[in-house]
Amino acid sequence: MGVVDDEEIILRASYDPMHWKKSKIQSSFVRASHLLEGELSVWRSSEKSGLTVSDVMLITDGVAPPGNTTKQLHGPLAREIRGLRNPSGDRLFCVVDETTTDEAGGHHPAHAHIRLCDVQRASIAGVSDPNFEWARQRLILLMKQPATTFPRP
Amino acid sequence: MATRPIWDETQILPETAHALFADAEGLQTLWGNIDQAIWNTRSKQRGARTQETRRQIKAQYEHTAYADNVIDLEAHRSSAPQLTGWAATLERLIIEVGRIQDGWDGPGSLAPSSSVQRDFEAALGVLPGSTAEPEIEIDGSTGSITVRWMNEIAASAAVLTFMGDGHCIIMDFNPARAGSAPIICAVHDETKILDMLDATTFGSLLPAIA
Repeated sequence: MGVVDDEEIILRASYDPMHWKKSKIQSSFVRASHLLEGELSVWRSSEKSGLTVSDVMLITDGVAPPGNTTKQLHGPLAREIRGLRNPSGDRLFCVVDETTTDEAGGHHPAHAHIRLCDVQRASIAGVSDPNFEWARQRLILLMKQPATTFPRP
Repeated sequence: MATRPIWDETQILPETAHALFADAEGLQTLWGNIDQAIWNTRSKQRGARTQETRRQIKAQYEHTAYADNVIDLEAHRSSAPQLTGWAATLERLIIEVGRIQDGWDGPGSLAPSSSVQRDFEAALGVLPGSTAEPEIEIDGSTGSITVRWMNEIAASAAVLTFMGDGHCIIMDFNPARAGSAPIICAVHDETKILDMLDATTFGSLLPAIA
């Protein structure tokens, strides 16, 4: 499918009950290790991918961890993710075409990854690096904005 | 209503508490006094010592109560002196975090370590009673805890993350202060935590802290 265009909706799933437990304690839907490794799994909704948000929800239901269903899709535009900057004004993230969906060799043409830009990645010491945590939290906040959230109908 | 005496928290020792374990009523009194002391103390050194002592006492008590099957722990908790406001919220969150086990978020996922829990409790214990309940997120790959207060449209947020190294990362996300870098703060530095939070979105979301 090729390069992810700026106007594509980039969808990250949060699952019930994995990310929506009965208690007030939730698990993060942006795992630090996945983001640091450049493998934060997302899906593309656009004319280019030929998928609507509802189509993506069917896909994420299909790949959900056992016993889970998609509760919400968090979907900013690729342009908004690429526009996130660190306090120094440097770009934080890339959105890259990556059809590999899991370690078992699954593929899907509308799959992509969010990863740190190379310059950022080179300066990050690890998951406990405050600058990395700041970047992760900035991304989570973007994805939590009501305007970019698609709940299950 | 009975007066709850203020315990001299600097004198509490786990051994002292242990001697009271056979006396459920005495233990309830001790429990309430410790809580009262924690939320009243404003000295970071005394606060840190009290938090640590309280954690040790609770761990020993729960171990003893479960092992001997002599006390219904939940019943005891419900009959213990009731906290209010942020103190009550934090107490509940501490208990919930403490129940999480490795593997809770899928194979290989990590629960918050004892050091993460200790830091979480120490830093948040200094917040004012009017503090609203935050979102609590745990990262399954690291066991770190994130505490987040944000406005309704998630445009502004104050965020604390605990990695278990004796510090917290304070982050302020506010369109008016786009250049706010993360701040590292020792969890027992009560003054700095309050000052830093007061200057962030936390302060604007929770006017009572000002």
